[in-house]
Amino acid sequence: MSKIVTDTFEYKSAGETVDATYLVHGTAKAWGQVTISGGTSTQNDSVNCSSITDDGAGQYKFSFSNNIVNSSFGYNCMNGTSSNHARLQISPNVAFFSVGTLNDTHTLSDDAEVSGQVWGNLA
Amino acid sequence: MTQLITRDEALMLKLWQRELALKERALKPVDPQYCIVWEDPEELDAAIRVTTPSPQWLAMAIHGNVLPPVSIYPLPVDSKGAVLPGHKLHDDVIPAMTEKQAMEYLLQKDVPRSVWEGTNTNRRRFVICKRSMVPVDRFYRNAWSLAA
Repeated sequence: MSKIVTDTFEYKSAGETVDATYLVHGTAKAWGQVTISGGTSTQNDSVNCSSITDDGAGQYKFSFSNNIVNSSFGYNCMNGTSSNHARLQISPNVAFFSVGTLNDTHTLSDDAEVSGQVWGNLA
Repeated sequence: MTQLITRDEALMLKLWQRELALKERALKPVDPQYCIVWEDPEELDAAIRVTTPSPQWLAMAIHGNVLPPVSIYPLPVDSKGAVLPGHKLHDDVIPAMTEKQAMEYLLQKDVPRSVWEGTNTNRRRFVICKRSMVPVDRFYRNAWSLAA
């Protein structure tokens, strides 16, 4: 595997630059997309996710393949149905993050699709 | 299975680099046949949990030369939960596993130790089963429990 060592990237046409640190620290370190149908959740595609745990109605836990170095990571989670909304369920952990989906009455309930992304530093 | 990464190459890469290398080399994801159904002894009133491997992770486990020995988990952490230097996440890789072996690995990695190592009870806390054995109707999802 080859390696590029640099401090700055420059877009040739526009001359715009971005520091390499933005790419290193600003790239998502894990993501996963899950569909919930029938008995078990199905992770359709992912990076750095070893498993999905169905913790109950509307509660899903994504475990990392490669741990995040600390729990101070950024995250984003989304669901597939407009009437529901997704949120981070519990405190993030270096080994996993949890997502909950709520219905209109703010009760945890299943959604057809959930996805989550994490930005942070890898162990 | 075609060998997409050798042990020697893998040992020069970190775990996350191995995953990305295999994704780039078009490692075909493996649709999991099995899941782990478990209950948490710390939360007996909570719904039963169902852990299913990600197809990408399962493909890496079956390929071999990617995952570290399961004995390195959990990684050492400080009082704030941050991973301490000196962990062995990237230091070694294990050979190819069968899907059943991969499920046993996942049990020890992603399911709390108190579930699979409990010695205070003779009650079964987990089952590794075919995904098709899990109920399809989720209407009473939070009432699912392990059969005695």
